Amino acid sequence: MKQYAYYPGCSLESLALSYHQSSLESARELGVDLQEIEDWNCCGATSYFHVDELLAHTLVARNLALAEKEGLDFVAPCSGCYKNAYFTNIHLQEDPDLADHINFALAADNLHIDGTTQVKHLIEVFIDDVGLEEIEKTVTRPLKGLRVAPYYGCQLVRPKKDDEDVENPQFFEGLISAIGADPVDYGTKTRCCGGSLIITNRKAALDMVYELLQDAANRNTDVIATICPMCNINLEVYQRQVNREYGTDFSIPAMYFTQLLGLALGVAPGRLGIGKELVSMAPTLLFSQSEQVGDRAGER
Amino acid sequence: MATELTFSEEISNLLYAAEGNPINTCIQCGTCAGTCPAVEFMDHTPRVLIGMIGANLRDEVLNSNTFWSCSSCYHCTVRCPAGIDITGLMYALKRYSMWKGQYQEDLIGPEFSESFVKMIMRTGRSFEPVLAPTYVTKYGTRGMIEEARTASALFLKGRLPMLPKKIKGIENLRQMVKRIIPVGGPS
Repeated sequence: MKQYAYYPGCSLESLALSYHQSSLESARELGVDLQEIEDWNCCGATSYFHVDELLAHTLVARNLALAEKEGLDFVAPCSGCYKNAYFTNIHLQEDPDLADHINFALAADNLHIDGTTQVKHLIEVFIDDVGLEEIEKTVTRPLKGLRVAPYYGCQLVRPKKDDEDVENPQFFEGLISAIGADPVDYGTKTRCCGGSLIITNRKAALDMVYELLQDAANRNTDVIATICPMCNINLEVYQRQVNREYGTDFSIPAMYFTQLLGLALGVAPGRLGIGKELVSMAPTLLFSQSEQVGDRAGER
Repeated sequence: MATELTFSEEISNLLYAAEGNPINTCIQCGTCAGTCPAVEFMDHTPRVLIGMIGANLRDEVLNSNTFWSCSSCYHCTVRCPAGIDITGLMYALKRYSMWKGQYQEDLIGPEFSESFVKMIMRTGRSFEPVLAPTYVTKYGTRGMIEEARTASALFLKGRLPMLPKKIKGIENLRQMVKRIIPVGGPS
């Protein structure tokens, strides 16, 4: 069983509790051992970088050092945490002056960073380390006929890393196909959800959420799949406000990719945090439950 | 004798690992403005703002809401044909304007960022309810009612814990911060 140092991030303790639950559940089903980093701290989100870059890197480095101490790769389910950890790790590997400076700070807590850990987003662990073939084999309740819009958002695919496709990535579609659902092809899959503008510039953020919901609705989307708590919260919690502002009637559930994956792996909805949402996921459940009498389930 | 830096050079110096002054390499093509999902809420498009920095229009730049309307999505950065990290530039402008205390009065961003940092120094983790008072009053009556409705709906679903968590190593975390900036810490 492959082990990882799991960094849930602050949102997964409150608004995105269901992402935490469903991450652990689907990981277990797929033989992935997520060891939560002990006494982790906030990664600084975007706000800390508004104030001081060096301090922000230090906050991130403490978590990376804790993962390094365990000798495990660092995995985050939140795209914001992931992006911060990924780039701080790279900067520390490539910039000895920065590493010296930050290691001097870390020494206050008897910590040290060598840059030996690798930073991954949870979806990368499932797709690259477990593999789509393995997932497809493990699925017991394929979500046949469910039209799922893969929403990449920003920080998972940007800034650009190595030779990744930032304009039209396809890996999320691959995962949706692997769990038996139909990936929706739509233009705004990497357009921003507004992020923390939902607090600091509500009008702008609601407009950005509206654009995403409208595009998904135009493509007959049953559910939007997300890989980040911020994206999910903006799309889901603020959907009612969008409807009021724009006179629309959207009712599109936003589900963490781990919730969809968990359903396809046969995990009970309650264990995936389903029921905690403000835009009901009930229609989605019909797709997985109808498969209980399907051919694949019958083999078990 | 040291020569005084221009505004454009000051900002460029705040960009991590930048060589030379990237602002001068802008070809004013407008790809950033065409890509930005928040552009219609900015008083100057990113393209215009970069031109203004190049022209050292310091006060006009600092009084613009453009960089505080940036959601840090990096879409402009990955598309810029001149390879300018425009999102990084927006971050640099936010930091500069906070240091100088010069920004539009009605903005929520600067105050929110400051409260956020203080909160992390107190507990080590982010906790939304603690931050709310720093911005909800700026939403107006209708906005505050809307916010209260959302919060109570989330609470009923068990998504809003009552108390913030404090990490065990908070004292050591504060010591770390003091090693980076001697005056760091909660105020």
